[in-house]
Amino acid sequence: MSCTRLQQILGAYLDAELSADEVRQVDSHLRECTECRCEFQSLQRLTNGIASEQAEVPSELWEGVEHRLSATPQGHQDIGMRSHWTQKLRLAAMIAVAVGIIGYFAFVRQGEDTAQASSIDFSVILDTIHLDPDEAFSRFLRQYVGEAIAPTRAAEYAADLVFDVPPMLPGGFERIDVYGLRFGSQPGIAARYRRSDQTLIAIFHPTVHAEDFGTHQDLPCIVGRHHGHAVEVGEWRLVHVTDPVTCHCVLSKLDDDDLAPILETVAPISSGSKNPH
Amino acid sequence: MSDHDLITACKSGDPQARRQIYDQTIDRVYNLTLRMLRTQEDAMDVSQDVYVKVFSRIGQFRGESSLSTWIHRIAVNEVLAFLRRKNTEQRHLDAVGLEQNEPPTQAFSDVERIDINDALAQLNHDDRLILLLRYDQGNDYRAIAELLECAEGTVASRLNRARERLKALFANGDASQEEIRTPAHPIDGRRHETPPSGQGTESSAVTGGQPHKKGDRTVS
Repeated sequence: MSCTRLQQILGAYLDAELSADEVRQVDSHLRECTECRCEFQSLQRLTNGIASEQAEVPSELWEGVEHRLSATPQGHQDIGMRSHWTQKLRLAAMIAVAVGIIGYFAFVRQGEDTAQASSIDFSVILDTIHLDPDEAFSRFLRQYVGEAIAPTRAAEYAADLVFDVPPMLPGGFERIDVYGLRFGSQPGIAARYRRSDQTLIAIFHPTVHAEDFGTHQDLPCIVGRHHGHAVEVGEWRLVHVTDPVTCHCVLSKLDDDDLAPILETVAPISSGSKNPH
Repeated sequence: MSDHDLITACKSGDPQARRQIYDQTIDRVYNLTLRMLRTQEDAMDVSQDVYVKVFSRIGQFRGESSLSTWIHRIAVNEVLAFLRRKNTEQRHLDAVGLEQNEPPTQAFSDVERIDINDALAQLNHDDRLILLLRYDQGNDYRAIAELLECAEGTVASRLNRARERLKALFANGDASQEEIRTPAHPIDGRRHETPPSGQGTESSAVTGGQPHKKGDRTVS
């Protein structure tokens, strides 16, 4: 085995991912080659250093989970909210003492609003998009109080966002409908496009909202000049790219070549951003 | 109680089933969040998010993976989502000129004693995550591929890249000349678990590593 070949598989050797025959070859080479042996020992030392002593789990962690579950029977409304629960408990107790029951209920309502505003749950649409895209979109609209609006009103409806929902998108997608959304107290926009039997959904929301993808994996991606993140569900892909004020989310079955010009259109100033959220 | 029974009980709201699922999985979830986020407060918050999500969505668990893999995957997603939110907040602070806590980006001096956690913190989230999943949590490539929903070949190439980047952080790119400090969590109360590392067999005189069989630990 040459040193070059050994370097290529040294990582897999270290990770115990080679066959028995390959292991024997590597062992043999390492016995004879000082340079490669040093390289391996260096790598081994480095990765051994990563392993840690296991931290003891704080007992109050479970109490926090129970508290949040009991406080929000509609559990998903609480997801994504940064709890800092100990501080909130103290705050809630102070408010309850100070202003009594009415004040307490006011706090709860406020908490719910904050929860809705702090996280956008895309799993609502991702979980079933591959089964029935229109129904999945409808669920998302119901979740975020979607109301059909005239396309010409979109810019006014979400005046702080930077986006575009033209009648036609590159590739022949025709705009079907446009909706105003509410993420807590802040507005967003959704638009549905169609080409033959293909659907494309664009969603725009303020960047201050976190995004929740449920059990789906969200990974960095580059589409054309856009640096963003993508979640794949079967043939479907949710690509989201961000400018300083707007997160542009496009759900489609398109590949990079077809999607790039669409992102150029709906996310006009996020091109070239290397800071996806 | 089997996974199936636990899930069934959990779906019906049985608090004991919830607690049992939590007890079976929390060590790995909490340790991953703590190593990725580095503060107990953030690790507790994100771990809570994970279990609120697990118990809220247990009805959606379809058994396509083991329950522990499903929970671990939720933990990975929550950690990455948290870090992205934090990055966004930092960019907003940067935009208005507020103070920032930017980590140092230069390689470590060859005279300092290196804390591997500091080095890991300088890597991007994806590199740090895959290194921890492999070398701290002891997952093999198949288990990592299942967690990250990618091919095993992708795991191998991402690990290669992450190892190279970690190595490059050390002066002259040679960690063998440094004393690598054992990672220390910012909290008291810990127990030690020796991780697997190295493929060398007991008969191998060259590696000096602990014997480790492929697939010793998986998330399943």
